[in-house]
Amino acid sequence: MNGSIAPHLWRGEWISESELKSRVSGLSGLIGETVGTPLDLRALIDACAALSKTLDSGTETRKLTDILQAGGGVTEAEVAETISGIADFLRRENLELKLRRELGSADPFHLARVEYSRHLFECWAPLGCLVHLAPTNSPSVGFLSVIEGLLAGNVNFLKIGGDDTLFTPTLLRMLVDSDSAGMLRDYIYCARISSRTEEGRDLLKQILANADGVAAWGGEAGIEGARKLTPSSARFVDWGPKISFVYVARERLEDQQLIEKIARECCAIEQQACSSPQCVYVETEDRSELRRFGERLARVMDLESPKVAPVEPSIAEQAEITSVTELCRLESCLDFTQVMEAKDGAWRILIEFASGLRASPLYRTVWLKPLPKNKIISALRPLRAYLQTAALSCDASRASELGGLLLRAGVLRITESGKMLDGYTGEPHDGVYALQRYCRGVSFQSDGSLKGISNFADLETGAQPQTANVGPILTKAMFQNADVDPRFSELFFKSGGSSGDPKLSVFTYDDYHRQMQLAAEGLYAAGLDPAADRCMNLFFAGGLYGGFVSFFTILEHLGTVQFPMGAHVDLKMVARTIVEHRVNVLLGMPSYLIQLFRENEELFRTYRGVEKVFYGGEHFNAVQKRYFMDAFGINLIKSATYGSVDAGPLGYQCRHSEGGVHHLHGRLHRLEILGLDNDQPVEGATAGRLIFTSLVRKGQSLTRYEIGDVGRWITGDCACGRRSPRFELLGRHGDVFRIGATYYSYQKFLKILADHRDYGEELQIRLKGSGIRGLEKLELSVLRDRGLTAEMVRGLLLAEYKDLDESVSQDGILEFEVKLITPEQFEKTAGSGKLRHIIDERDEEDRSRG
Amino acid sequence: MSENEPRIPCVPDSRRLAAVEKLCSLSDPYAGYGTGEIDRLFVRAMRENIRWHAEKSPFYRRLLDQRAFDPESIHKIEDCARVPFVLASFFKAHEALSVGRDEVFLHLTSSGTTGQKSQVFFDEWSIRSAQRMVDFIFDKYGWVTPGQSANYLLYSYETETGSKLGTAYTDNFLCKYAPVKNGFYALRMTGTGTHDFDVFGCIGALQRYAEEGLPVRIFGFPAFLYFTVQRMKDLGIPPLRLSPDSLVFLGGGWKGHADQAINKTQLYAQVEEQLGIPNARLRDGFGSVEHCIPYVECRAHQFHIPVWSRVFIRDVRTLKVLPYGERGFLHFVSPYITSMPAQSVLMGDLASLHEGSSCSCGTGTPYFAVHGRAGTSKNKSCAVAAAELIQGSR
Repeated sequence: MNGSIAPHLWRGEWISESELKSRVSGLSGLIGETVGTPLDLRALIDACAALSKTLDSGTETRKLTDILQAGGGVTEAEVAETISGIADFLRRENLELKLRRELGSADPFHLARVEYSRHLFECWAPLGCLVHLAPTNSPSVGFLSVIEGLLAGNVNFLKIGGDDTLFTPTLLRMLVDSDSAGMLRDYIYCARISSRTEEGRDLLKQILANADGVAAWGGEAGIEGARKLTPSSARFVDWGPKISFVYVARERLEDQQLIEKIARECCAIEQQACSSPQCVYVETEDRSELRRFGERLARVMDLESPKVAPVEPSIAEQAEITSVTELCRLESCLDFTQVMEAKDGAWRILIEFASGLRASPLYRTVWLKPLPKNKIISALRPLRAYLQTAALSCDASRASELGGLLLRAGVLRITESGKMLDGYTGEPHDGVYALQRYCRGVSFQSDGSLKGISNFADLETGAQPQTANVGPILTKAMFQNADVDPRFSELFFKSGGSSGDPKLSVFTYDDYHRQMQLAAEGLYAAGLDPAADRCMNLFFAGGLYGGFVSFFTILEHLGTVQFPMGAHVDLKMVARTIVEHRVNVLLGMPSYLIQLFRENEELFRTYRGVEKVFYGGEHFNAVQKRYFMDAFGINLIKSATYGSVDAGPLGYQCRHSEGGVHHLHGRLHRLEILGLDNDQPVEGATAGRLIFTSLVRKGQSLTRYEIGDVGRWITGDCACGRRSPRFELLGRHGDVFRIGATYYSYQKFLKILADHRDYGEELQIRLKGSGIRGLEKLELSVLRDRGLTAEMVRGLLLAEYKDLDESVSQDGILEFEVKLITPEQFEKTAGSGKLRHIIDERDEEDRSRG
Repeated sequence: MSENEPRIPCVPDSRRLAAVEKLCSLSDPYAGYGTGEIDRLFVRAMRENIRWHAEKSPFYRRLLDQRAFDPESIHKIEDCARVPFVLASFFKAHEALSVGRDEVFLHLTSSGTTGQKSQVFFDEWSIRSAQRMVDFIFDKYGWVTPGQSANYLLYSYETETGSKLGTAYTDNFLCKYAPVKNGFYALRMTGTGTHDFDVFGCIGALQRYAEEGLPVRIFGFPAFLYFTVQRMKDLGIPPLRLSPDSLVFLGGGWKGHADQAINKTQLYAQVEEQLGIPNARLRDGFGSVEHCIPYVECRAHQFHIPVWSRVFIRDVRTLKVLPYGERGFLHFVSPYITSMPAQSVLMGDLASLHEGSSCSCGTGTPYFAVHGRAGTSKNKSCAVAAAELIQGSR
């Protein structure tokens, strides 16, 4: 035992040998509890990122070095390299890349809709409890395998050697300590067990009885032993030793650069990796051709070998090298072989005329053998359990043929010479997708009750991720002036807004597609039926506008029938096309759509085939909506998405969402609602400023972005079944004001007048401070000559606007007056000539008191 | 069995192999080792042997050409180190005969554990002269007692007659030095082609033998002897007192039980304790089918080299001959064998050579100590080692 630290790590605490023995019997119950809750992937990645930073900082290097060196046989430089390899593996972007590359998504464990015509959902699921039997030849492999096991959502029990140092469990403990959510501890166990003693084997057997998966390293005997102790129901993942080789197609026999790469790869790290080449196959049956290749390779080995500092083999390894070489020399007397060797014995090329694959004793020893393509399968397949990498060199026209043969023979990975070892540092499994071996693919088939739902994450309780509520609020100006890393600047769109300034929003293709995927889900939730609808995309294209392009992508994601028309000027042609092709869904800007229908009124009245309209870019007011629905038989007019070019899709409406209520795109963004005049989170359902933070975005970073809208939280469950956070849009920030101790929305005044009196025109509100009578006043002006009287309007608003009624009629703390004025009397903003919605005439004191 | 009838062995060609015959007929195993006369005889025999195989074995001729070795170039014992050696593992994969198939008297397979069996061919001379050497050694140590019968416990495979397994054959013929009163095989045939280790039977036999009081001779694999005395201890059976003229002569290594190998000193101590046989009569033997010269432990448990062979230790990297005490490949040289060019064999063992004077037994000839296998069965790295691959693809 090393020092005074107990040798085993059990759910975050150090325990002794005897405690391990007594606790093992209860392992099954503990694991059962843990696997009942899904592992918090975000918390895991946060913990790994934090540990990575710690390792980078160097504060733990001395301690870890001392621990690892206590076992002997490793230099400080080697320890430093090991630690840096681990730190690299744990970086957030590397872990996320690994998830995307190996499991197809950074969020692979939520059931996601696979298609829209059937309600079929798929995702990856953990195996459950993964037992890792670490190798003795590498200090980091066990630890990294546990990280992979955690990424795949499993509980992990790592067995290391009885004589191993405490390096690995110390690192695991550091990971547990880096987890601010305190969740990881229950997923990690690490015990030092000797499989050479009866006692150790017994303990191992008890532990393995819990395994749903076993990841085993070791030689043939060790792996066989492990297999015997593994329950037959568990998945056995064999990471045993492997053999890799080079295959040179005949057209490359004379490729000098290739030969140099091969030579270098034979010298690199003394061929110790499982992806190092142990044999070079040449596509020939001619012995003299093989010999000539050998001579070429030998000449290059003479040049390349001295460039790499040698690592001396142990006595046993050296004896093996000599024995194999001498045997080869003897066999050359039978014309079976030929030995080419460095004068100083630094390297060896062992030519053997039989094609069977053989392992080399390493340390710059490589077999050179003939292998015509029609013998590939017979020569390699018997060893398929051990085959790993083949470096294939051939012409492009033969890549499919030769590559196919090698893969069918059992090779796992084909690369090129010079690249065989890539990805070795830090990766326990050279190029093989470990995560897929540590989970299983599952599916969920539903009846129509899940129509509209695209991802089960939306059905989960809407707890938002805990990112810190710190940092400055990002204004639009700050956002647009921020620099974007050119690595993440792939797609540029014109930024939204009416300021007239031609600023651009920047995305990576990755960001773009992820956002469009979510927007597509939002559209589906709002009522578009990809299986049945025939859609026309009428958004504007060109001039860097994102409208047409993004909806093209959205509709493509949904796989729906699409007519990519754009906001075409020939309105008659557009209408004809709609009717001819039985288009039933239109997507576009309200102003264009209104024009389209006005121009073709008769046609559309007759057709009545347009059922759904999804709009964006402008507001579609209630009066217009009602007209459309009555006149043309349209039964659904909804916003396609709530969002902006800058921020991407932020929210969406489901079939049950009324008015301005939206579901948050929780897989893209985190939402805060902060006070209208302070930066504190609002209480309850108070109106506040909507502040969005993007969770996944490589391009312009969106942290605490103030979009300029005001809204409030909606609590309770939505009828659609989703539990994602919901908010109600109340209008532009400038449109929400506070007077008489209450918040009011300009939009709401407008809506009431539009809904009840068909008044869709100008409206202006003037806020006045407490006058002689000590009360504040809200003065509302509408156009005269519209068939309205001041009393009528006042009465209507008090009847329909509860908050107003309370303050005015019941509490008597607010004065309310309605005026009818002429168009010229409306106050406009100097410059743009736009109507000012709210004019606040109160002084500072009044305003803050209000 | 007919192979065991005493007959004086003769070399295939008494003119060309006279020195070979003379050397292998020296009846005192250790006397004269290192003296001018014996060394010269040895070297002459080697020259004869090499010339013989150069003519008879096409493979060997190629080998000599490849190494540019001329048998006439060896004059001193040290020169014998230059005789091109053949790896013992070569014989596992290839046949190299220097006699016609009709002259093959015995074809043995070794009881290796890696799944490969050596194919070794003996003409009558080679096997008989090697067996006679065992006679000479047994005689030297006073273990030939035709007038005193013994009870035998054989830790080897009960066989049907005609078995090719080398060790079984050897053990049978070891029973000729003292008439057999009773014999017991530890590894009993099951009737389905396999063998079971009958530990209780062994204990029972020993108890009967102890009762009877005759000298007991125990031959065979050390592992099973160890299991037997261990089981006796576990069962609390009081130690037996076998006749002090009893003899234990082991061979064949720990075969597949290497993970439980204890060192020989401990084994001898246990056997002496449990069975009462004095330490000086507990002897191991080192041998292999590829090189049949018998190396028998002296009473101080060292493998002294007999006059019929010479041993060199070769550096694992350079193959240079190493001085006393250093570890390297075990290299045997002996001109006894005429059926195969196995007169210079590099074994797969790591060993060291030591001066005869450093052993208290007084035998006087140098001795070698074995330090395990030379080579790796698995690589330290993730790369698979040869021994782990299925060899079927060759």
